Amino acid sequence: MIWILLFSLFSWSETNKVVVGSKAFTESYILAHYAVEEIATVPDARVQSRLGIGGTGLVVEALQSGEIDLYPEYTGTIAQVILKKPELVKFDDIQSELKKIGLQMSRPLGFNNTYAIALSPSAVQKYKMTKLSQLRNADSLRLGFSQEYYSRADGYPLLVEKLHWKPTVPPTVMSHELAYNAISTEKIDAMDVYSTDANIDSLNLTLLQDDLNITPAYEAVFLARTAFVERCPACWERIESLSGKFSESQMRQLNSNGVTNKKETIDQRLLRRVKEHLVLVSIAFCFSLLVGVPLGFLGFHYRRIGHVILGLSGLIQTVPSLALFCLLIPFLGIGPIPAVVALCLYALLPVVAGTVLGLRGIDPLLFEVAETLCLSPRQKLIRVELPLASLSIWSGLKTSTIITIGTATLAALIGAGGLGAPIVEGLALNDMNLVLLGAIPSAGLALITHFLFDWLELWIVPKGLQL
Amino acid sequence: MVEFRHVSKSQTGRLILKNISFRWPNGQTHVLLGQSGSGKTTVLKTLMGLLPPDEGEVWTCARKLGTVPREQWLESIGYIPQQGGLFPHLTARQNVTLVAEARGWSAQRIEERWNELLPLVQLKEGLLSQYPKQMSGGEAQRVAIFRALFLNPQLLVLDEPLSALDPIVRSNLQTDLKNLFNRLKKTVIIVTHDLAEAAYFGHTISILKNGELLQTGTFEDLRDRPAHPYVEEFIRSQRSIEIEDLK
Repeated sequence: MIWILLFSLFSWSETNKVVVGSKAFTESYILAHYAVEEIATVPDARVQSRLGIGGTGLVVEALQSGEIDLYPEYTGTIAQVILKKPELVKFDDIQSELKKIGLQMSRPLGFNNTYAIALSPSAVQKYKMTKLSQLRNADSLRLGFSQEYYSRADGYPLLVEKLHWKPTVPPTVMSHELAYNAISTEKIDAMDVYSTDANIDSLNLTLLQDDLNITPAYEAVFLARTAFVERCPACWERIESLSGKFSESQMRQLNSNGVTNKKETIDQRLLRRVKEHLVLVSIAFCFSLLVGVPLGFLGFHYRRIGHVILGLSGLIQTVPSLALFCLLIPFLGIGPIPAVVALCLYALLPVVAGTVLGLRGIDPLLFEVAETLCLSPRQKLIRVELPLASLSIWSGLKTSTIITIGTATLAALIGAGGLGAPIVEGLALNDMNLVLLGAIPSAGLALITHFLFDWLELWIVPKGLQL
Repeated sequence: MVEFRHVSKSQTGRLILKNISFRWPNGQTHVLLGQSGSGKTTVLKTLMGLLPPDEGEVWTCARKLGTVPREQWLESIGYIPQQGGLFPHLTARQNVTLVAEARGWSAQRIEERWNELLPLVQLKEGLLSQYPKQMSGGEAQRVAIFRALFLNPQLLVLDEPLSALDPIVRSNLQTDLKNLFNRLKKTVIIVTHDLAEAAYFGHTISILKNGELLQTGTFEDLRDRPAHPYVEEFIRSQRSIEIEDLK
């Protein structure tokens, strides 16, 4: 069975293909889907997608290590976060800096998804404003800003500086969702938005025009590895053909529709995710069984080694799972492999501890008897130690497997798929149904596993110990 | 012959056996008598080779401990620990035959030995497929004796075999054990803190205190000619009508 699992793992990571990545929010998903469809028209190109990678750092890491070949990005983010040169604003300047690190971007896709200030319809009527510069004349405006916009250097601080303006009523800092709620019920007059937010249209908000060129441009582009562009010029040509094809209002429309994968039914998709999840969990289970149990025996018979083993596996357990996933990326890239490694490491402690405790719980008299009966070390292991510790070992395996089922949902954040994928996607798209599509099966899986282990216990743990 | 020659043993810096010497003839039952902490169990463990002595020599069956392979040494000793020491995950039968299976005996040979011993230990048929947790203390002890006898050792070693049993079971088992010992003509060593039991079983009794052997002799020797004030005190403190009756 292990071989089948390993095989299915490696079949994921073959080289001759184009992999489109995305970050974990709607617009990124949508643009990635367009890229996938374009590249699919290139003969011989086998296109795959690895969507919803959780954050700029991760996705760039994936791009540079070759896990993905391209993904949608914004010029502002490229200059500030990736190149760390916020002074770069011109397209060509950014492009030439990118080429120095083996990356390049496509021509702009046509829309600028930047920070903007949105006004409620009533505020527009009251203040008669259309431009950012007019903010200076509207002192009594009630502002609700997100924490990010309020504190980011290119957000509110920049606005205040460039306008030489200080509102008499300081802005209220609130979450984005709350701000939308507040502006729709007219508790606030203005808020920060991304210029392609779907809610702008649905709430009939007006964006103030950036007449002073205050806010840096966040032109959407595709960011790719130069090596990929050279490997498949035809693919890149298709990507470049998307330039200028999207306007901001179009993008808002697309964002409000969300992204759906038309080729797969819900059932097929669920089945695929469950399979991926089970592969991840099964590998971790096999590892904890084949490595954790022997380590437990080693730890029991050699006290010092035992301290080291238990200490180390305990230490791993204290690293938050998401952090462990991220720590492994520089060594193993993204995708199923680092996920499996992290899950295996997590699965270890309960099994090692269960084995050691099980062995420690054996009456020392029985070890003495085994010795006087002159059992060989192998006979002692198989006929005495293993069966007597089996109850504790088995419950360690059970705990470990159930924890793994939960932790494996986080593996989706580094592109390993599984039932976490719909959760991550659903959270990004604010689609509760999609979240439940991942959450309910994984909870169900954990429950089934619980009962399966209890049932198997009747066979695995010797009858004499169950009385 | 079971012999200790000037055996001393210390553990964690404390002397637990102090220059112990005795010679016990074959075919008899010998009792090591003493309070807990007197070192009687240590004598047993030293005899079995589980705790090698720091000084002195241990001999059984004309062989010196340490000069024969461990397996051979242990094969000549059947050990019955306190409360039986049965493996809880094995049935009575599995417990008994484990040691023969581990040595690669054929099923037929095991069966023959089984049938030979079964009448001696007087176990109920139904008990053989039961697990230790389903047995009474007396039953578990009988199974443990069965197990200890299976390889036909010359020496039987019992560590407080009856101390955890209630009086009636204990008395029945005492009778059965004594008959068994007489019949098998094995050299038997029993460790106990109970004087009545010692008097009942022992051809010779050795009294231990704080790792020192105070006196070895028959019960009458100890009673009538105590060699040490402690021996006198021990006998006086535990004397009862029972002992007189048993004798």
